[in-house]
Amino acid sequence: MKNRIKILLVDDQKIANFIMKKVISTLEIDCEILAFEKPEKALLALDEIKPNLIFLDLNMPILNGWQFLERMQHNHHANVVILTSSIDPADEQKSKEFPQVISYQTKPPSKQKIRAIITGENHNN
Amino acid sequence: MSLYENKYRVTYEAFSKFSAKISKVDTKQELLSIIESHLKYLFNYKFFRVLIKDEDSLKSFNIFYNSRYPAKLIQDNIFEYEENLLAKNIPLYQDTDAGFLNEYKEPLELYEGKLWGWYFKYQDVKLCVSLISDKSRPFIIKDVEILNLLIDSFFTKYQQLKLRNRLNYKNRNLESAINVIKSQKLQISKIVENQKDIIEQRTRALKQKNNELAEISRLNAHSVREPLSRILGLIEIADLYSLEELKSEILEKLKLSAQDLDKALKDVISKSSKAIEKSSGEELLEGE
Repeated sequence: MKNRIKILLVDDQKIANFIMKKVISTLEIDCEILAFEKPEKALLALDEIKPNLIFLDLNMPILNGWQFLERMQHNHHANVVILTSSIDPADEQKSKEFPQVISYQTKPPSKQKIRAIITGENHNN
Repeated sequence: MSLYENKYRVTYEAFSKFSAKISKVDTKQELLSIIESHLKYLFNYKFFRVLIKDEDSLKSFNIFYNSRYPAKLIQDNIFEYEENLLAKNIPLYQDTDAGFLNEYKEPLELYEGKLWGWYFKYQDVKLCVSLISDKSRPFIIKDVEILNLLIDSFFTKYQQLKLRNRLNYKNRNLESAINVIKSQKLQISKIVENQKDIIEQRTRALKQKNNELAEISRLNAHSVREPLSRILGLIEIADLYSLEELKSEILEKLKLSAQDLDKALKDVISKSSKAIEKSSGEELLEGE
């Protein structure tokens, strides 16, 4: 299936990925979901997977969300959605420095907003 | 007549010398010395005395003819005839054996001794001027004229010195007051400067502590919110599961997340109380 949307979940919390998978699955959109708990592995797999959309956590060991963004910046054109439990406005401000970031969402994820992002109806929220 | 005229010409010359000398004196003692050394050129006497009574003091000095001791200004010594003079202001002329002078131990050897006394008043100051003369050194009525001039010159200089002393004293007081003010001003500016330093130091320390505490609270908020967001997410998707699935799929994850939240909260509380302990400990140290 060539047009199938490839979605990458990067979060060191297994349960967080579990929740996102469930949320996306209820949207009944034809897509392929791949989840990584280790961001450094996800980064290495980017070339092979070539995802359309990445849901990225910020606070992770070894490679945090910001470092992940910096390393992927020049090689990949996937859209990134920040999905974080942080409610610090400074983080949202900083996310705007990365052109591939199309949305900044705080956990828990809202079904309506996730749908809008995946279907491309609303890139700004 | 020409003998008298001649005598008075000489006397006035002596007086002008005396005047020139006293205009240069700087102290009351110098003034007395000049009078003592010049008096015998102005008129005859065996004993000469001036009593000065002003509002708050009684001072006198004595000059004995051919005395071995210099005249001195002393306090609180008044003779009976002086009290009469001060009370009645009538000039005095009477026979005397100078018995009242015994305490001074300066033998006068009088031949028909006479005691003369005059009362002078200059504003608030009263003077009793008296002298003893005898046949060997006779004082005559015409000498009163030169005696008046002498007392005028003496008293003018005396007041001048007194005022100058008072002025000097006031100036010294003023100067020391100014010095006290200066040193107090210096002390105050030192204290102010010191307090400025302390305030700056404290402000810097407080800012740093604030930043540290803000950083701690930021980390805390995140570490607590992470497991909480999982719990909220799990509740959000719980509707999508059957009761059996809830038990097998969700409950365990809820339990784990709740345990993580509990751990994070405990961690936050211990870190915050340590930070508060640390900062209050530093304040105690700074306070010493």
